[in-house]
Amino acid sequence: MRQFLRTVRIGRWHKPDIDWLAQGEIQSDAFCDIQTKENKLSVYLIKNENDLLRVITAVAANRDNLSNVDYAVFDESHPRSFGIVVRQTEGRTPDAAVNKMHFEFEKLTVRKLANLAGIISDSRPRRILEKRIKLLLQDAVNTDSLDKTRIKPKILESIHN
Amino acid sequence: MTVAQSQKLLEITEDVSSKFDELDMELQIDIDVSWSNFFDIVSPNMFMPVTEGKLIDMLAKLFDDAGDEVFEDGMDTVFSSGLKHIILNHGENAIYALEKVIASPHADVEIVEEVLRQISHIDDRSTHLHRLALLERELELPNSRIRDAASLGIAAMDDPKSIPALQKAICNEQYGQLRKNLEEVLAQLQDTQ
Repeated sequence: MRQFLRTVRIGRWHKPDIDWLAQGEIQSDAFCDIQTKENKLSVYLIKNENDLLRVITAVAANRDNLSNVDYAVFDESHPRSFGIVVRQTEGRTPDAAVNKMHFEFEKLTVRKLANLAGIISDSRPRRILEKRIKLLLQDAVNTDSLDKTRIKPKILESIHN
Repeated sequence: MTVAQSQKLLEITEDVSSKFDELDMELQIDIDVSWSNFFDIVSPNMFMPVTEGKLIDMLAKLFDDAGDEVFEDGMDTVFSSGLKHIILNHGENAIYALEKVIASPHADVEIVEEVLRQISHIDDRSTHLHRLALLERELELPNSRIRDAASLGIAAMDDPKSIPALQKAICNEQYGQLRKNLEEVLAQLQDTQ
């Protein structure tokens, strides 16, 4: 089953301790995780657990500092069912293979974004802790799946410590 | 540089200048400064210890300036750089001041979350235990976003001393997803141990 992956911050999707949040609603801070630019949103299309870990690693390698990665995965058909236009574009991570998995949701509207927020919330976002991210990055660097020249110095320094 | 940042630069420069005046010294700082390297150049601790009140003011201004920032995991911001520099320059005093600022009922949750993530990444043994204790206390707060960010900070510090605090937090946690995340942090620390 093919699924889209979008990185998020899990806290923005929390619900239970917000007394004013009605059943089925999502706090609007969640929109910070699906902020569009030119009405587009970056996602990755994955086919299996290996793809998932490879994308997570590439995304982590593209940051300024070592950090946990929170992410949501949802069925490929869900955004299409809400009329979201999907187009494959080249990604910009240090992993060439992951860049081929990169897609954009295009021509997004506020209504479509709200639907997407529902899809992400229902998917129950997950997390990989920083310590494991470090191991994934070390492995990716050792196996040359990441272009080291495109990784920020602080990340390289962190994974070598 | 924004107007708010320019004003802040002016205020802090005036503050530093007044301290020099007290010392009957002449302020000579090369003001070829961009905001991004400001904290590298003007470190109040270079001149004299700063009172807790001043530290609280500095942190409060940093919080105010970050009001519109949308934070992303693993990305540097003016806020994260400023916070790290204040802590590295003022050590324990900065942590005491920070505790007061984040305890304010007016503190922005998004910024407090960012504080808890950032303080775990400061390479400073002298404040290690104090920062860890701060994170452990935040595990007990009513806001789940704060508890979650505190657990991430504890995971990043990877110090098994936090195991009892995490065990207590897991027992008290009502929110299933957060409890699962706390359990993963606990498992990591037990593995480290």
